[in-house]
Amino acid sequence: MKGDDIDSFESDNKVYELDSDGFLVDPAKWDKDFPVLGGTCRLAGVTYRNVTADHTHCPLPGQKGSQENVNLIYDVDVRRFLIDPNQWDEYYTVHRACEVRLPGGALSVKHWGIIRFLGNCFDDRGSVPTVYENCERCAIGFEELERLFPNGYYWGVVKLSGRRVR
Amino acid sequence: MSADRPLNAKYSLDSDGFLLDPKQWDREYAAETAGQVGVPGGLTKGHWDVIDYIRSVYSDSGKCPLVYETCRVCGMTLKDLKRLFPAGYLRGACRLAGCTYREAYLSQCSLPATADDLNVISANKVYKVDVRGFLVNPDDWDEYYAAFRANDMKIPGGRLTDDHWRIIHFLRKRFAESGAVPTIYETCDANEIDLEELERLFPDGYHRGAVKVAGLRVI
Repeated sequence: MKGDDIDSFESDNKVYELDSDGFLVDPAKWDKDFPVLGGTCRLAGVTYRNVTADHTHCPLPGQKGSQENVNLIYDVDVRRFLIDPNQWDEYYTVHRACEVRLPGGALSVKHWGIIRFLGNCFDDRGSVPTVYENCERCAIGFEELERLFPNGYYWGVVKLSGRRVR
Repeated sequence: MSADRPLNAKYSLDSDGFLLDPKQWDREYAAETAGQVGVPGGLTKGHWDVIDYIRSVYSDSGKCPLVYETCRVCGMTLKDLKRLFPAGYLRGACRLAGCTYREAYLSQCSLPATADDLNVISANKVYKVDVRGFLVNPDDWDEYYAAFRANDMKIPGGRLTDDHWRIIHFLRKRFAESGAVPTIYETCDANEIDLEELERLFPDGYHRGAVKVAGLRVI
């Protein structure tokens, strides 16, 4: 079975949509009849790709998190801060939050409030608001900010917002 | 500092006036820069408590402390910090202390960190990553990337050890030879480690941990 040639697979009157490597595109389509050859995760129809996007309080286009956003590419610096803020989208934030193991495992409405305030400020004035201003304007206490973003203001909020200071 | 020499003649500064090499820092730098970050009346004991704490953490660990930690240790609220450093924690306190998150974590690389190296790292080398944070082009990878990537992942112990680097270099070597990422079985066998040891080294997993830090991806 050559992955490059596959885009769907029919078996026992069922059609499975596969990506170019022969992995199931949508984990929800998996059933026990799924016949693709390969490693354990591939057989189970779930890989590290199929995570995070469902676990957010942000409405994402095409939210199933499998194939829709897999081709999104971002330019980052060595610290993995986004270089061009115009490349930012919600997917970027959701996946970065997953990588840094945000407490609770998902972005809450409060997370998004802080992130969006920072992004809006940056877009308006071209600079990142201070931690003081962000806490005051979002009515977030310092302790709560630490609970929401334990990695800090820059490694946490600024990075997830797809902006950087320097 | 001698009064007739401008700051940028004595210190290497970036375009925003931040010190490029934390090793160049001295108390004169902080005193002379204070006016530029909204502290016109001279540095008080409160300012120095914060600056000295940031410097001590940087000296001990190579890291710039988080704002939470600095406030806690110095016994300050966020309002206290704002009164002392109105330009912000990074753009005020950390700038005067001569180190920011940008310089942090270099010590874990076991790589040179001279002013020139810092300039290279700061020179906006672009890494293209997919939405899951995997490097798109394996040739873009370098050891700095791996070190910072590992920091994101909260690698146990806070730094990449020889055991981590052995796995990372194995993955890259095999990929260069075959064009494919070796399986977890092959990696464990070739490096004579069991699954428990691999998990200890890369708790985020094989693909999301070791393979990602090595700048590779499977799908």
